[in-house]
Amino acid sequence: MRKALLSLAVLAGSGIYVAQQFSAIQVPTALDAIAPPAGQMLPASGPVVAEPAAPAPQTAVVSQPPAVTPSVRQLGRGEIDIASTPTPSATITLPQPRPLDAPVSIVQAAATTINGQYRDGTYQGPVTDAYYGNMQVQATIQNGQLTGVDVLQYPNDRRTSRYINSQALPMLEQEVISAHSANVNLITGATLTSQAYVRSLQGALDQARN
Amino acid sequence: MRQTRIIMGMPITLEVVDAADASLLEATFAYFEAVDRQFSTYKADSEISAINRGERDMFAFSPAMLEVLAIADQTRNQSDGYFDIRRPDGAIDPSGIVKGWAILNAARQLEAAGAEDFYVDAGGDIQAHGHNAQGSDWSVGIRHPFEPDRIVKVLYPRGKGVATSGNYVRGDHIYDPHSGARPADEIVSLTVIGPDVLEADRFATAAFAMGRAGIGFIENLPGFEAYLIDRQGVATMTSRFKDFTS
Repeated sequence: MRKALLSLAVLAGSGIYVAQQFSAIQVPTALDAIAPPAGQMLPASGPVVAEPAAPAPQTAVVSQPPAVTPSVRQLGRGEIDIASTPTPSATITLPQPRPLDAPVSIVQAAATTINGQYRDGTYQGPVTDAYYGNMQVQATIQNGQLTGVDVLQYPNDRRTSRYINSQALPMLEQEVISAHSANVNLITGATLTSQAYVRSLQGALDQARN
Repeated sequence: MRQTRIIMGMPITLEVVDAADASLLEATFAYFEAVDRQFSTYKADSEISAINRGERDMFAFSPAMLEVLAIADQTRNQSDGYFDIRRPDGAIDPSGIVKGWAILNAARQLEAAGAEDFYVDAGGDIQAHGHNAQGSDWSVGIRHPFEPDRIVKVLYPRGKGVATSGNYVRGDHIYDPHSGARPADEIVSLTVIGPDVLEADRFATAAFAMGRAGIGFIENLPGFEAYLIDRQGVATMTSRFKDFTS
C-alpha cells in the first residue's frame, strides 16, 4: 500500500515537473487553436438554415480579449443582437425560428433560498465582462427568497456562417438546434458566460442583503 | 426542499423531495465547502495550492487528494492524454475531476442518509435519483448556448449522471494538451450522459478538449451518450442519445 502511494505521489510530483518543463519549451499561441480548418466551409446552398449573406467569418482571439464596444441591449424576441461582436462592428439581425411561448421556467417544487434571507425587490447585478461582451442579470426576491433571475445583457458572438462537416462523422445524426421553452427540473450546460453570470448574480444578491 | 448556494464559484442546487428539515441540505452544502477549502486553486491555504507551491511532502497528501489525482491520471490514460490536470503554467489543477467527484460523493451521502428522491446540481453537472415532487422522472434541459433563457433539448437521465463542458468553463481550464493551447473554439457545448456524474464529467471534459472529434470518442465509449453543439448551432448526437430524450 505504501509503495503504491509512493508511486502515485511520485507520479503526481513528476507531473508537476514535467509540466514545468513542458511549459518552458512550448509557448502556446492561442491563434493556432482557433483558426477554422481549411476546406470546411460549405457554400450557402448547403444543408443549412437560411441566413442572410454573411460577412467574412470573424476570428475570435482567445488570449487577448478583442476590443469590444459594449452596447446596452435587451434580448428581444425573434432577433439576436450581435452588436457587441468584435470587428466588423455591424448589427445583423438573424431570422431565427422561435416559439412564441414563454421562456424556460424551472419547475418550482420549493422556494429557492440563497444563503438566507434577502429583502424583497428586484436587484440588478453589475455589468460583468463575459469576455465576448457584457453580462448582466437581475435577481428578483420575494418573501426573502430568490425567485427569479433575468438576463438583462448577454453577449452573442455567434458566427454568421454555418456549415455541417458531413465528412467527419458520417454515422452520427446532426440537427440544427432550435430554442425551446419547456418546464424542466434542471438545466445542464451553461452559456459562454457562466463566470460572468455568477459574478453578476452575486452582485445582485449582495445588494439584496440587509 | 430546494436550496441554491454559490460555492466553488458556481451555483450549487440541492433538492430533496419531502425532506423533513434543512439539516440534510446543510450537511451537503458543508461538504462542498470543505471540498472547496481543500481543492480550490484560488485559495492560497488549500491543499492543492500548497502542493503547487511545492510545500507538501508526498506522504502528506490527503487520501482525498490521492484519490482525485489517481482518477485524473486514469482519465488522462483513458483519453489518450486529452484530459490532463497539468496546466500550461506548470501547476496542477484537478478541478476537472473534483467537481464531478464531489457531486457524486454528495449524492452518495444523501442516499446513505435515506434520501430517495433528490438531485445534486453543481454548475449544471447533475446527479439525480428517484423522482421529482410530481412523481415523474427528473427532467434536465440542455441550455441553448446562445440564448441563456432557452433550452434545446430535454433529457431524462433516470439515475445516470449528466455533465456539460464548454469553452466558457471557469478559469478556462480545458486545454488541448497536445498543442498546449485551448481547443479549436468551433465547439461550444458538449453534454455527456454517463453511468454517474463523475464519469460523465471527466469524459465530457476530455472529449471537449478533442474538439469535433470528441463526439466520436464518446460514441465509442460503452455506457455513454453525448450531444455536441458547434458554434454554428449545429448539433451532433451519439447513436443512442435519443434513449434519454423521451
